[in-house]
Amino acid sequence: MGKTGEVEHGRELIEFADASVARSASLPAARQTVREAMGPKELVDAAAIVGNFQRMVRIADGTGIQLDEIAEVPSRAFRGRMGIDEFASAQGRGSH
Amino acid sequence: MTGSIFGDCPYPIREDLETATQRAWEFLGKPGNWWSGAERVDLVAETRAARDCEFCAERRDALSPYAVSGEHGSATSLPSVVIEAVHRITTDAARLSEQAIQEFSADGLDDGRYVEIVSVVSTVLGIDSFCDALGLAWLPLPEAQPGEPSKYRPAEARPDVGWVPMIPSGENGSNEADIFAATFVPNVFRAMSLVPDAVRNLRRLSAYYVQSVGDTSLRTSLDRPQIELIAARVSALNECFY
Repeated sequence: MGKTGEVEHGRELIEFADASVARSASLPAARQTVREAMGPKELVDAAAIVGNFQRMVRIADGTGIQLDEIAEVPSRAFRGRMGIDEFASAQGRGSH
Repeated sequence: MTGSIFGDCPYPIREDLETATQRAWEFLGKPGNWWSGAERVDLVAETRAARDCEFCAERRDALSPYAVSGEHGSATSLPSVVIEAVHRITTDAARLSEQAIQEFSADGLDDGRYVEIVSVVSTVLGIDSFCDALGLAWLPLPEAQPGEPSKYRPAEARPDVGWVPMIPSGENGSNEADIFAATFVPNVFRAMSLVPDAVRNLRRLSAYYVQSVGDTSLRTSLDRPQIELIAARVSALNECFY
């Protein structure tokens, strides 16, 4: 385990995020892995980011907001490559 | 940690994070713009019930949310349209649509009440998810405070870049000068501006993230790429386009 791309401890953080959102049986192990690899403060802060975006996605999708103009144009190319435009929530939400 | 809102937590939680959570949790029990304190506490309870609702799980797996019918496993006696809205936002927000919100409205759930539901549900999900991630018990239900809803609706709110009225960028009145002081306000911070206190509550919870997109004085122990990796992953798991 270690880097994912340029992100230090990226793999551990992704597994932790996945397990947290799913509330899966693997969560205790994923939590312990982050704690041992990074430290308890880092674990707490990672959990806070999970919580923050569990909140923010529901605000965005609950109100149907469009992408901000400063993000819409620069993101067009990679949205397609990454399949983001195929998300159910993408319908009618991409451009002004 | 003696006296912590999170109870007997084995991890060190930043003071600003704990304070923000305490204030947000108390906010949930206070009368809002359209819901009483007791009703808002019911919305909290219903959000939690939604997370284990079998009908929601069945519907989430269906090709369309309209492909299945059934009854929600609910925890309150809130009106059925409210229960439906709470459960949809909690478990299947990515497939909400303008049509769904119009259907809620036709069933008596007007836009102000709906936006306040979005505020309560999203606040609860954020805090409960934080607790889940750390293996902590959920906070006890907030204490319902007496008083009547304010029935305040900003005069500037109108249809804009979403499915609900909001204060357009740069057009807030003096009542909302405290929350829209910047030249650029991302849509996600204007999304609930039909209920301005919902935006104030959201800003208080910035301790869970970083203070602003351009803020380099990060309060967290993670570096920026790590923060954004988690953010992007959680967003992708929820299929959130924004």
